[in-house]
Amino acid sequence: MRNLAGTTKMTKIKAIYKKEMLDLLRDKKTLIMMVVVPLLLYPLIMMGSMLFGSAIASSMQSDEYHIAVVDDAADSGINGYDGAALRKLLADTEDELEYHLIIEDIPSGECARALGAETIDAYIEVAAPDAADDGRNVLTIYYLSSKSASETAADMIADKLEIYKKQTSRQILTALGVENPEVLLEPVAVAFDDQSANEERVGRLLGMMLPMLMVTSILMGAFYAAVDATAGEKERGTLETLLTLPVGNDELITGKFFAVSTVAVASAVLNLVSMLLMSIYFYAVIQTEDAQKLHINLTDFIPALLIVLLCTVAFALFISAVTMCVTTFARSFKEANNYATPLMLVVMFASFVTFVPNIEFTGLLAAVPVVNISLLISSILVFEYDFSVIMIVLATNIVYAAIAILLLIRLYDSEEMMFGEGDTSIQIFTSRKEIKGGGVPTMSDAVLVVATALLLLLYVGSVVQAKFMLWGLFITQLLIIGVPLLAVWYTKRDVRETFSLRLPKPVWVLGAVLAETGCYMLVLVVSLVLGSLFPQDIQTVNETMDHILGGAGFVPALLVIALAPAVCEEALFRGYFFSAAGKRLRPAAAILIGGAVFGIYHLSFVKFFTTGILGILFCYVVYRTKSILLTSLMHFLNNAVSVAAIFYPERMQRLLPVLFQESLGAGESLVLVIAGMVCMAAGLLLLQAGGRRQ
Amino acid sequence: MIQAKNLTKTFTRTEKKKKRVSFRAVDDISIEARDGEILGVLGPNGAGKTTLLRMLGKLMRPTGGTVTITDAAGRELTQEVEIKQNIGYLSGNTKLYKRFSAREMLSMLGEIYGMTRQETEERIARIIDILDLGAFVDNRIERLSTGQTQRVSIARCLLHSPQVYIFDEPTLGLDIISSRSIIDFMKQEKENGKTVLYSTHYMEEAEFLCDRIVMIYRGRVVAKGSPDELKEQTRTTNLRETFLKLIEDEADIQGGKL
Repeated sequence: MRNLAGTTKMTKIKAIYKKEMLDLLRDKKTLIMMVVVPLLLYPLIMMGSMLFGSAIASSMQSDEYHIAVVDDAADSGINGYDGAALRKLLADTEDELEYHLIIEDIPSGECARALGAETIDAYIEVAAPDAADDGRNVLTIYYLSSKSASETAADMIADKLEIYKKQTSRQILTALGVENPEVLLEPVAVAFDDQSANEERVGRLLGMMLPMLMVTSILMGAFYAAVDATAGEKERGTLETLLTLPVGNDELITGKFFAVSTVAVASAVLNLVSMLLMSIYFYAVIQTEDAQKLHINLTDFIPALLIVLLCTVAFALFISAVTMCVTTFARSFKEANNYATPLMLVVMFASFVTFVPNIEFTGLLAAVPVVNISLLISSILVFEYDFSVIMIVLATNIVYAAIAILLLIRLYDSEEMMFGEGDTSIQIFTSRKEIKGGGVPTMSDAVLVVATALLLLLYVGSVVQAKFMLWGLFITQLLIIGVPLLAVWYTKRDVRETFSLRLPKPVWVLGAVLAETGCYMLVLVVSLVLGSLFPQDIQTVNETMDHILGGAGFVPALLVIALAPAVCEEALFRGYFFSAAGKRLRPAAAILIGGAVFGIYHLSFVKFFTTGILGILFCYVVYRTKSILLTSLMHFLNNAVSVAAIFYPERMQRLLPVLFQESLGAGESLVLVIAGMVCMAAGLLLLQAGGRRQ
Repeated sequence: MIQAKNLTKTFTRTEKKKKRVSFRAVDDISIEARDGEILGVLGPNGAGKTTLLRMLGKLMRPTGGTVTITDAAGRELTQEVEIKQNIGYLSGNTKLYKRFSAREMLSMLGEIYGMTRQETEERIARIIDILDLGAFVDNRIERLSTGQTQRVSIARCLLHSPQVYIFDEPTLGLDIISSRSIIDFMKQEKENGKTVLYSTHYMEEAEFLCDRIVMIYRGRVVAKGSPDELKEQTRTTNLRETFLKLIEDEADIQGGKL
């Protein structure tokens, strides 16, 4: 036997650390994630993007577009239309545009058919001068927006016509005896001169990309090591062996934590090095191809990279501790994967912050984990060294890591965690055959489903809305209901219970309408108050709305903006999410969280509060009545009033003048708040009537 | 020597609808195993043997009661780390680090037990001799046979020369040759004046190996004594019958209480 006095804490931590490191390095999975992936990933990304870029460039150059010009009916008119000059211009491949447009000789009557048969990609019809157009020639470009070649050809023709317009103006002005026609054509010349150094421009680009890549690679490196050191011990049955050893939990965790951090840092450094080597190589290739295009002083980046490295280490400590906390709950590698997926989504999502334009990196953001490290890397790469911010970021990361480690030590104290059976809580990653089903979704499933819907909203929703406007909004709503429906199907949940499909009592309908009316008044006051504090936020929301409506009629707008969310958003938030939260959290917590999630989903600072309040009310109504039909009705009414206000402003103004006020006096606000409260209280009382829910 | 006084362990589980259910896995057990003695801990599945041994080995904290051990020098130890330092614990759940060779694992453990490098090396050389590990001591443990792995497990328990051994069903699922090496080892260590605590389902093994036996049922001690004393008490001819008789009697008594 041995006396303990000779063994200090440090020697034990060191011994545990050595054991963990050797154990980790002997594992293929960790090694692959740590070494092979970074060394291969960046060359592959670079090569891929180079190949892709050159493929696009070559296809752009080689492609020829066939067009036709119909100008039989045209005469020179007052502006002297010159068909021969136009043709020469269109066919010119040597000018600054370098387009390959080939003019086919097609009789005027045949053009429309030729376009339909795709023998030509587009054609121009020059109409005779028309008095309605002040005697000018109207040149119409006929094309098919459904065919990308046709669309490109039309764009090219439009570019050429711009040149033609200028050319014609110049001729006319010269003919009129103007000595310097350019002065009339462009009385002021506008020029851009980018004053930022090349290093700054490259830094800005790197600053956007690098944080996300770094965060993800550190996370991956840390994840495999963390699983191996926590859940891996349980899976391989060595945890009990470990517990027989004369070491305290603090020594054990500290040793393990430093080993996981070492792997995370190593993988981050390897990522950084690999990426740098690739960038230098890429830069060298560009240099030889085109010497004056880009000149970068690489040494300028050295101090920046050193600070990035320091931040990386701090972040690796933080992410290692957090990942270990999560993976400790798991008993196997597979289970750990399930537990860590939501964490990964959140972390990766947070690192996207660098793509948000004009974000201001303030003291508050410097304390938000992941976001702070991403913004810091991004700001350092444009050579903005704010040392107080750097210190805050480093300090908060270390403090968070310490908190996570303390938590981890407590976890290792818990015998349930060490010897317990546990259960898989993310069903979505379990094979469907193994799912028993029934009941409502698990909390982890609910978080994952809402996160997926949110990601779809951000990445798919924003694109389809920009492209298809009102239809895009409708598609977004379909996506939002699609995710929970798919999840319910896959995990075989009880549809009625999950979506609270239950017919309400008639008196509840009255109660819901009253409560909604009251809540609308409250929200109105809140939004006016917040709107006066953050006017920009409101303005952006309104502009987006105008753009999306884009001339649609009242009925389609009502269907898409009021009815679709009343069905789809309710199914996601009051159905899937709230049924899971309501089952596992205390009612008050579930209702508040349900409201907050609904608020976050609206992606606007002011709307977070206004829709958050609505969300809380809706959750309460579903909690009380178990009927989603009521909140669907409330949601519909709420949105319908806004739609009506946009389409029939005069009538609505006569009916509800308060909707159109820019600000409220204190007295008016008070009256509205009190009236709203009374209305809501009356509504909620009615919901209590007719018996409680089961 | 290892001594448990009034050891109790209560588990609480949160079942459906937040009902908290408590369950006494070990209920006020006091036992003592002396130096140079093998104490058998017997009982049916779910009797609380593993929980009891885990508390004795300081892998689990008792809800009530104390554990004391005396080291070879006769000093009484109560601190968790000190106790672990003097215990060799082996169960079906104490697996080995498969990615290491036996030698690597043992030297790493030596470091954790606070031995110097030289001490560890000498000790490993000695253990290789005792357990005949020479042929595979430098192979990775994942490549060893079950019997070889079992011998490395014993080497792990032996490394820090503990005074007390706790063996929780060490022969479960092993073939005769592999279990033989463990049984021989226990006998050997008993001769060396060590304390051995041993739980098993194999009554024949227990009958010829144990000096004294503690019979546990539903978390309580229902009988203690040497195998012969227990057989006499219950008027049975072998330990298997003794065991069944004791369990049946106890079930009757507890059933009557209910």
